[in-house]
Amino acid sequence: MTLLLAGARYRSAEEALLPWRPDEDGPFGAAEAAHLLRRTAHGATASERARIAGLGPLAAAADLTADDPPSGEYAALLAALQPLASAEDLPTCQALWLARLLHAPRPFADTLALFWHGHFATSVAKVARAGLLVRQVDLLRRLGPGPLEPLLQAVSRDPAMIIWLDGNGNRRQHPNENYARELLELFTLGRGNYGERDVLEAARAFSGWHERDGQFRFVPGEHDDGEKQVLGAQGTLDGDDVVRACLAHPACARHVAGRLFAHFVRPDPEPELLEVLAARYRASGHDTRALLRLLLASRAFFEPRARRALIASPVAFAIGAARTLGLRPDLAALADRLAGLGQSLYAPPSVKGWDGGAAWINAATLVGRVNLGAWLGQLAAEQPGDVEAAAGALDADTLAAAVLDGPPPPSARAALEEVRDDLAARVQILLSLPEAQLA
Amino acid sequence: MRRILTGLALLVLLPGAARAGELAAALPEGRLASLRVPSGRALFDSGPVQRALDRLRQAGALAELEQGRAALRAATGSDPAEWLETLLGGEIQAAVYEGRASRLAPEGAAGRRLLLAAARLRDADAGQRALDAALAVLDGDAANDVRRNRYRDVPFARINRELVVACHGDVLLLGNDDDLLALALDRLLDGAAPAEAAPAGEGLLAFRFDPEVLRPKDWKPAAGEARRALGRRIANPLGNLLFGGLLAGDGPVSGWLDAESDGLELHLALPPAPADAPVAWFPPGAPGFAVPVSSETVAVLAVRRDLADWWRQRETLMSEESQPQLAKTDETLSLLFMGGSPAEDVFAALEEELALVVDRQTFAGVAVPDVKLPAACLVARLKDPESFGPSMAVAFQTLMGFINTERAQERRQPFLLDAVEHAGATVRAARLLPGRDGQRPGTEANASPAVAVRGDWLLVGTSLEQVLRLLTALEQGALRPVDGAHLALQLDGARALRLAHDNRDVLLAQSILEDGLAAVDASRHIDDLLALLGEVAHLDLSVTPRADSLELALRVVLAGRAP
Repeated sequence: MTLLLAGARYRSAEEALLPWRPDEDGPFGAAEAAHLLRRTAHGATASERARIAGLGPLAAAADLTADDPPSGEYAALLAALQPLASAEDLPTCQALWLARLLHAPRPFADTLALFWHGHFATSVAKVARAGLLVRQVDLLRRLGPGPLEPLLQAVSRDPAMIIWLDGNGNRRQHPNENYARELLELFTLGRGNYGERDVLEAARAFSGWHERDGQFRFVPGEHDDGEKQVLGAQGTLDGDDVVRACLAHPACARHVAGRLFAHFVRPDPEPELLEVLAARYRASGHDTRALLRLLLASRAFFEPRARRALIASPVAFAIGAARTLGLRPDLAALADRLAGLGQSLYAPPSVKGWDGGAAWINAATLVGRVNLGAWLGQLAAEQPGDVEAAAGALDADTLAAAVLDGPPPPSARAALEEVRDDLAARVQILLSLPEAQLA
Repeated sequence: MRRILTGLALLVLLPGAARAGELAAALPEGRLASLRVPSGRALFDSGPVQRALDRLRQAGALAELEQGRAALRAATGSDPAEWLETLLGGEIQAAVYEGRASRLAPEGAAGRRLLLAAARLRDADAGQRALDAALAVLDGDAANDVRRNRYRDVPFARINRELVVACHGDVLLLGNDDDLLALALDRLLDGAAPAEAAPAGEGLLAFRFDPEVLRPKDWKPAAGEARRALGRRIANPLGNLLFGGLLAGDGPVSGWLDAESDGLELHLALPPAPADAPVAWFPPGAPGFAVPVSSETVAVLAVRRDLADWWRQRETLMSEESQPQLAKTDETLSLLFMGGSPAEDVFAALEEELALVVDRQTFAGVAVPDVKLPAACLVARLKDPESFGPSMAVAFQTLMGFINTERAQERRQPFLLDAVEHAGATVRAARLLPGRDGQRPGTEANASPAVAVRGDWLLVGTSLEQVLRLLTALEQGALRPVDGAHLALQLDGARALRLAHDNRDVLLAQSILEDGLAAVDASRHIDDLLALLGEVAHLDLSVTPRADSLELALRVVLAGRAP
């Protein structure tokens, strides 16, 4: 396939997915490292940006998506937080996840888990037990970077998901279609790639997949072990068979790879690019880490139109600012502010997850983001040493380089000059700029 | 300003010399609040102040202050601590006045608060020299604006906009308003008689204030409303039950504070309750009663209340916003007690003496949650145990049925109802079914609600282990007397510390999340807090109605020096 991709400088999708060549395609410096770190870690300190810039695109993408067990200070932090692991109250559970996103040296598994949390959107509003949502996200963190099949099989057995999509009501005599429908429509294939009969038969396959005492429980008496036909697969299918049938369908790789591209690269993948990407995904056994390593080192990722192409979610905005500026906010309070900005962790608004994109910004949330910037600015003023260590210096240009990858825009120059003795105000102004809302 | 604050903070580093004297004449009339310290030196020398300073010193919080002191000593050749000893080591009287309201303020609003203090100098010349030295230091800082002048031949100095100070003879005057200081100088120079008596009382300091002085700094005259709220309509039922009537009466609050090496004592005389105060808060009867306690008891909160009268009058005693919830509670209670009237059939069955006993839980033989909450048990006497006991048992079972239904909807483990014979009583209890293997017990594992009636004692607790312990205490007659007919609180500092230690790791984790501290720093922070808590061996608070006041007494015994 050698199609010219609209708006791109590459002649074909294959070319767009080739690794970014620092000499021929453009530089690989601090700005490129910052771009990569925004997408994989939401943000990073100046020294981390410099380290990544020194690796080159391929090694950097591999480094940031590596599967390292926690060690050193971060391991000590996780151990110290362990006594709250059984917490069932939502603010504590949210704060614990934010702590991982903020403090992990390489938070790729958590960044990806946040993507999957929006993909397999499950809310405490119905599940009622935040602890079950925490376990679901543990699962996403553990299996999310790997192949899709074990992830889908685990999600299908996840107690929170079973409660959320009424699995306990899915019985032999009265199949409940909720999970089967979302598995086909939202989780794997997308609309138009399955029929109503597929939904009904898939629901029968998942009958008897129940939850009890917060655990998955297969109830043989409630399972329909009769003949079924789902997406062309036929037999006495069960849930795992349906998952395999979904994965075998060409739309699955296209649907999931498209969502990953829209989340990590830019929101508008061309059909040609998507086809190639889906083929690579399928060929890798739907290995998400492999797909993202390909994407995160690619020309498509580093080309100008992919930079700052995403509107940062509230979590990405706040955690990105905190990681970049070395801030240590009250994470329970931060979780509350993020909920006010439309992103309450463990409580996505519907089974479709957060709409994202332009929906993150409206009149109310814009004011909320400015206020959040003021709050973080105040924190910066209280911890100037930490900010200096993270950003490199406290002057407006250095802070702008950290937050915006470059000098402050001319429109902000005068305002920044006026507050040259006020670190809190400088940080607030920079975080309130439109550019800072983009990831 | 920072230097001024540093200078003032040096006060706390100082010992001082006491000298008897009458300073009341210097203070004009119209005081909102008055304070008298018989000896500044005795106050600074007192055990609690010195221990607080020791702790601050150990924590390094006084390092900057000590450096400043050393620098001043090097620069001036004399120790600033000595200046302050000279100036404030003797008797001190201070007062708060109402200032003029801004012309832009709403009608009836009060002005800013004015402060004036008069201190007796041990030696007039030494006092003047010390004051001059302190002013020179302040003046040496370009950030300060120190202006000297004379009023009726008495030199005075204004420091920025915050302070005005003068020495006349052996009296040092310190205030935040020029006119007030001038008025005080007039009184001294003209030999005026004391306008008002100084607060009387034993100990290190005595005070008197109008509750209006508690008004916040805005222009709203809120103190009256706040007092009425405390008197009548506290929305929160528990707050209403505990604190209702405390400031119902009009009049000043007076009191005194004393400190020994082993602790401190505070006594307050609050305005007496008005004659028409609801009997719910002030039931007739002898003050003082006894409460069963155990080896794990951390705190006892005791009150004397007529619950039936309180519930009957809930519509007038509590706010309108709380009425829907109160109506729902009334309905639920009626349901639990088989259609009975909560006021007449439930609350009226209880004697006026009520206590909440708080115990540390040991979790012997049961799953230990990460967050270890204390257990709380309501202890009451029954007027007719034979008829009320069975009703209580049924109500408990019905309640647990409701709870289990709700938990089933949330697919949580149910409570299993049980009956245990212990110390001559049948205990109705509910215990969580154990979780599956490997499942960590959540915070709800702290709960094992239990109810028991022994003789005329009723125990309703959040934890079976505590109820069993208190039944043993009843059997053995291990009752602790509680002073105070209206309200009493007893806290055992050592056991509270153990409770906090039980949760050290959880507190540490919360500190990481909420204070943004690294694990090492959070650990140090929590240990400092625990050490601070460890300073308190015992705390006793009581409120007792007297003929002319409501008497509040607080005694704190410091650790390591308990009697």
